[in-house]
Amino acid sequence: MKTIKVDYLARVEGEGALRIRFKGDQVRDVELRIFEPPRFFEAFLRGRSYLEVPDITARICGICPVAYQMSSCAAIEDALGIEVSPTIAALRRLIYCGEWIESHTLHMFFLHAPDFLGYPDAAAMAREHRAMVLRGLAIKKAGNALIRVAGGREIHPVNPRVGGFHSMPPRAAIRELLPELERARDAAFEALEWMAHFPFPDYSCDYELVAVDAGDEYPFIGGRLISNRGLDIAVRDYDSHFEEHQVPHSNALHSRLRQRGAYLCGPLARFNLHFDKLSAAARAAAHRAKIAPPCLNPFKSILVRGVETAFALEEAIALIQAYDASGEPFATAPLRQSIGYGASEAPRGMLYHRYRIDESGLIRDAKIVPPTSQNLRSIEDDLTRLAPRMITMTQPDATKLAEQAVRNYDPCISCATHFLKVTLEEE
Amino acid sequence: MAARIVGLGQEWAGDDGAGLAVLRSLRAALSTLPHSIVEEWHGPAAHSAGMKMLSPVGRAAVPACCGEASIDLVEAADPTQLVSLLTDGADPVVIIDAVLDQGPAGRVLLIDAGSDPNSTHLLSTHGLGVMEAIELARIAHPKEVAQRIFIVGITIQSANRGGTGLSPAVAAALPIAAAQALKLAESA
Repeated sequence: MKTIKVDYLARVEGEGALRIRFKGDQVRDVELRIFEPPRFFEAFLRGRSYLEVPDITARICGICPVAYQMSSCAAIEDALGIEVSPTIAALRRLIYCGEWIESHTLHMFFLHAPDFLGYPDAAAMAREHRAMVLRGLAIKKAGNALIRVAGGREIHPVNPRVGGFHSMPPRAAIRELLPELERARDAAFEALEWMAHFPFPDYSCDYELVAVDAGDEYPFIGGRLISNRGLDIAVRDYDSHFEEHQVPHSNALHSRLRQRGAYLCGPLARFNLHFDKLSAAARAAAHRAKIAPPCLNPFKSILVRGVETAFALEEAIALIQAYDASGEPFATAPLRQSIGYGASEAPRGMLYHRYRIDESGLIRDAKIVPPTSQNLRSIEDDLTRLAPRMITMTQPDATKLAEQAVRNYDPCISCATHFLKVTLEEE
Repeated sequence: MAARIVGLGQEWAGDDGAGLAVLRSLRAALSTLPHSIVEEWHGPAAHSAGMKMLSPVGRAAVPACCGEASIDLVEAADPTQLVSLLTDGADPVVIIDAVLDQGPAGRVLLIDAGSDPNSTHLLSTHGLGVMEAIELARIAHPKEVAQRIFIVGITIQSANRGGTGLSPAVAAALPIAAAQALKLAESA
């Protein structure tokens, strides 16, 4: 029996391992193993004040802290009946744009693009694609700058809070970002044209795609969850339709739709479910890159991230031009014993939070379901379907394909708690 | 031209926060030193702790009359931030980070990134490694990149996501790492 094993999967956030075993030309099993100790944040939050939750959960991930802040705020505001003003909602959308920009760019240029061009890492790629890598650095810097100005700090922003923000950034400070964002937007469209010429493995799957629905807007924060197979529920009904279960080889829980099984969330889901809500320029760029719904090849998710990055830059520019710093920076409501539910679209996909709060505002129970853990089953399924190709490949080529397939999902194993080593064994 | 010390890590990821912990210990120690106490650090107490301060350091609390040199202390969680931190004029730049290693935790490794750019024993807990980020800075901005780049690594056995605080072995290494970082930052 032949087994594909990669001891340490580079270029994903966190750590993990992959083992694929064959018998003859048949795939025997695929295991995405997560070795990290279980995440303690859900337990750690118990007994904490509801006001501390956004700051604490932001530290689950250094790449997507805003997503955790926004999902946690949405859930707590749902519990307490807090309604935010349109100004606050717009500023939240703006800071979320910053996170998509910097997270997507980090992944596209520095973690995933080397796979398509045959380089071992981003530095090797930069020696021959310096101009494009410089664009990537500039785009990421623009995203980080946006988070810093709107959020008060680039890493683990300090400005977001339950009900809104501690303070509204001055209009002048926000508008100072415009030239840098406009340059980054142009660079993002150019980068998409570059990536459109990458060699993409021929592969697709009939996934059930799940994403947040935010009405007429391309979703960052929203109150409903939808899918391409008819799911249309309020976020508060998540637990009735989704469940997590333990698998022996992983410390991360696997998610599935009750009675239906695996599903996929993230850029591919958003793109397919909400394509018409992208800006006209982003849709046109997608067509030039030869992607349009239905786009079900996960290897093309790098293009979808490119479209979303360009869109987020356009959206940020529009939000800044309309930005109004007046009004109260945050809304409040009396404390009450309650349960609240919230969801937002982290760069990697739908991030669900649920909190039970007591009459003193202390957290009694917390549930956090990151997008990467929701996608783990789909990642394994992809590898199972790709495995027959690997049997005919050399060991190094099979390993590369397996790693590239995992990186399609930009997995943040830190968020999913639980590190990847890919192992190939032949018996 | 100011020297810079960068503490890299994730705060609530157990030992992966070692770089941040070293930086914060430096910031706390240096920001409270008035001019008169700075002189006393050259005495026995400083040497027994393994620290030697050749010149006043720190950004906020050092009066201009103390001397010429200054050190910029920066926290970072993402190695791609290093590209700008290495190319804006600071020199030397000392990066403090946790390093995954099979051996005992709590060892302090000193790496001259100028002479060892392909150090393979540095297994980063981040998607983009520190060495890769340094190499990117050199390729992207060859004329602006700092000429002297050092890494002070503290070995850890796991990143322990979700854990707060450092393991005893790593915590014990903080003063040594801090001392080495300062020494490198002050190197001529």
